[in-house]
Amino acid sequence: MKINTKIALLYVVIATSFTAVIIWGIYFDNNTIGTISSGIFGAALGSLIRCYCYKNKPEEERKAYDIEKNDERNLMIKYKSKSKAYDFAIIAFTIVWACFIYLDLPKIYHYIIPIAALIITEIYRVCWKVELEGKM
Amino acid sequence: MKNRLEELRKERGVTQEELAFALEVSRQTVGSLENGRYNPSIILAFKIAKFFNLPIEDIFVYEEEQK
Repeated sequence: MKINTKIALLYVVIATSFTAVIIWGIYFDNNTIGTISSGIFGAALGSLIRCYCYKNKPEEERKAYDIEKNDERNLMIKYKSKSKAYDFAIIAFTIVWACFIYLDLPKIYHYIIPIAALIITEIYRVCWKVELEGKM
Repeated sequence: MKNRLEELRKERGVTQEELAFALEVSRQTVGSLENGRYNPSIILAFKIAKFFNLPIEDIFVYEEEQK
């Protein structure tokens, strides 16, 4: 799928801005709900831009995108990699939970550790996706 | 499961892209099917059979695993 450069740039700018807002909120403002809301708002805005990009695509390109998205092999790979990541996430978040219970961690780790677990889970999912794409 | 997809496709002079477009799947899926790395769903198998105007069993050959 070809990406409109201007839209992609706008998306990157918005994503970076909201990441900055979240970091600023955690470090300086200490307003967790506000920062999480900003994150959700940023994600929603990203989805809106994606919808806008999709709507403005030529018919043929849109059909090719739909085929790619609904392709049964792609879906199977997606679900299999997600299920592997889910199994991994259970272990990862149990470790996170244990860390919070047994270790008296500073507040900043309350944000860093779950985010790290989430990123590692996502990397695990992508690795499985690549592996399955080679096999299937 | 073996299949005659590549043979039939070449016989009819259809490219992988054309077949993929007709079946509404990606070209990679057609490639995987031809290599035998991926077994299609029953719906896709019927679509393939309809495309080639042949019964499913003429395209896909089920082989029982040896124990």
